[in-house]
Amino acid sequence: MRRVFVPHALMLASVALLLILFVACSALSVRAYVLYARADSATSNVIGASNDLLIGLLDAETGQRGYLLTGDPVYLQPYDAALSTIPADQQRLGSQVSAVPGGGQYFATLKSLVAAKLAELTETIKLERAGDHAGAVRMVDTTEGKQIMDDARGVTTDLQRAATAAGASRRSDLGTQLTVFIILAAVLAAAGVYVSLLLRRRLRRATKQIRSLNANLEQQVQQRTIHLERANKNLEAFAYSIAHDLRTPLRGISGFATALVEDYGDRLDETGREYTGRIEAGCARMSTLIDDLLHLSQVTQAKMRLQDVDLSAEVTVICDRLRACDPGRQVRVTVQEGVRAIADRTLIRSVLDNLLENAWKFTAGRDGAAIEFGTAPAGDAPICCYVRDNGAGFDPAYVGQLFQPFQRLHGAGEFPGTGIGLASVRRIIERHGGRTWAEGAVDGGATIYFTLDTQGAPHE
Amino acid sequence: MNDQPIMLIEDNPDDRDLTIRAFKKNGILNPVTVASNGAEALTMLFGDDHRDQGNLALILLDLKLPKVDGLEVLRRIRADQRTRLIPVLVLTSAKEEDDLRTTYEHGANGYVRKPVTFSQFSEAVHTIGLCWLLLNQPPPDPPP
Repeated sequence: MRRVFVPHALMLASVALLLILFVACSALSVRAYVLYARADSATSNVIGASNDLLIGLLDAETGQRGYLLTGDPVYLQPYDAALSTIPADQQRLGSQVSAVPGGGQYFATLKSLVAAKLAELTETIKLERAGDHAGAVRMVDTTEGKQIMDDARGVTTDLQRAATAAGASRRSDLGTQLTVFIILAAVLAAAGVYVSLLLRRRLRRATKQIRSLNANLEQQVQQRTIHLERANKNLEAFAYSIAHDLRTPLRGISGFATALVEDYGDRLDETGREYTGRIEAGCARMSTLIDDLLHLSQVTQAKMRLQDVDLSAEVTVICDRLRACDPGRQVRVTVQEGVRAIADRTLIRSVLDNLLENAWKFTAGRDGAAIEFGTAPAGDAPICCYVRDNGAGFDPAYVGQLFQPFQRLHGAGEFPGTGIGLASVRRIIERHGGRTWAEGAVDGGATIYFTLDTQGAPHE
Repeated sequence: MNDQPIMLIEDNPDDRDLTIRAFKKNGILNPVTVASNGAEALTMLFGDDHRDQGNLALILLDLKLPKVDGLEVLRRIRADQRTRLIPVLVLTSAKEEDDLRTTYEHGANGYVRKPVTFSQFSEAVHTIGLCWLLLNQPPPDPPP
């Protein structure tokens, strides 16, 4: 069977529509039921009121007869009582007859008959009271009063029959209506439930689909990450191997330039020897660049062995070494004690090496040269260290280039170096989950900050 | 200084010539046998007309060689009764830790990274000569 796809919105709308129709049907059923009950009471009201009216009339007649027979006004009591109940009953009946087809007609006839009967009774009682007993009896004997009474009874009976018939037919109509509405409501409810179930099934299927898509996506992301990592690794390996391969021809250039000077130096003039000197200087510089490049790629590829490192102690060792290598210089070194972090010892040592060598280098020729190592408020990082010097500093406008490989803000003649130091510092710190940034001004010294992910155990 | 021959296994002609030149410059006068790839080295060491297998003072071995690579040559040298005691110095431009470890595991006696500038290279060759050809006592001759 071909499945027809019904849009979700349409299904939802149909559920809403079914719900509305169901509520309407229920309301109609309740209304039919109420009307059914009311039709019942309307019939009985008409019958009751018409009976009461007729009884009132009979009571009045009974009172009149008793009075006429005995002449004793005591017998008039039922008559008097009926005079007060008849108008009320008549009014009550009048308000009910509209429910009976032709009821108004019956009621009008009955009303005139009641009026005529009451007029006859009043007249005879008036005659009796005036002492004309014979006139009163004669008036009764005309049977006109009896005829009126019979007519009233007949009309009442007709009215009651009509009321009963009308009630029955209305109840039957309403019963049919009630049945129809209840069945309709049940059908609507069933349809609503069915569509809801369909929706639920569809929802479940959609949820399942979303879950599987999510899982798929995660897998894809994972695969991409692996792929990227591999690509990155390949690139690093490529850089390493290129840098590496560059060394061999360079050794040839350098070697034969030297051989040229050694073997044929006497045939070269001053300029020729200067040129070979430049070739060798170029080779030496390129060799340093290649070494730095290799170092940078190793920094990125080397396995990390994290351990608790006493940074202050490392700084002190490096500064002592710098001092020993350059005994002519007077540099005031301030080291904050007990700075520790979880880091790879070799890599973090390389960071401190670079930063302190820079500080040492850029304070050359300064009176009162000072280098400081310490910690700063870390923000959201567990630990933030800095290396500060009061040396040549840098133009803050170029701070963005500071950490780029082979970017130098000073001429090679001014300060030696290849411009790889801060780039490798940044790479190492990033591998430790930290950040690097710099502050400085031309001739205002420089401060290099770095954060680390984990603080070391406090020094005991 | 002994006068046993040195074997240089090196595919790059520049490096070969510069190494030989550095020997001469540093007064190392031992005869130098040159193999320009691993296969040639193996033929010279173990082939039918092998002449040098027993009395080599030193083998200088490059790791990256065409055909048969340096590590394989080293393995074969160490596996053979006639050559297993000859000092082998790996002279290479590689500096990967993996290489370093495997090289020693294969029984190298030393691992020297060739410096780029000739003066440093020459210095290195001088030191090698001093150490391996002058100070070091070579192993006794192999059993016949």
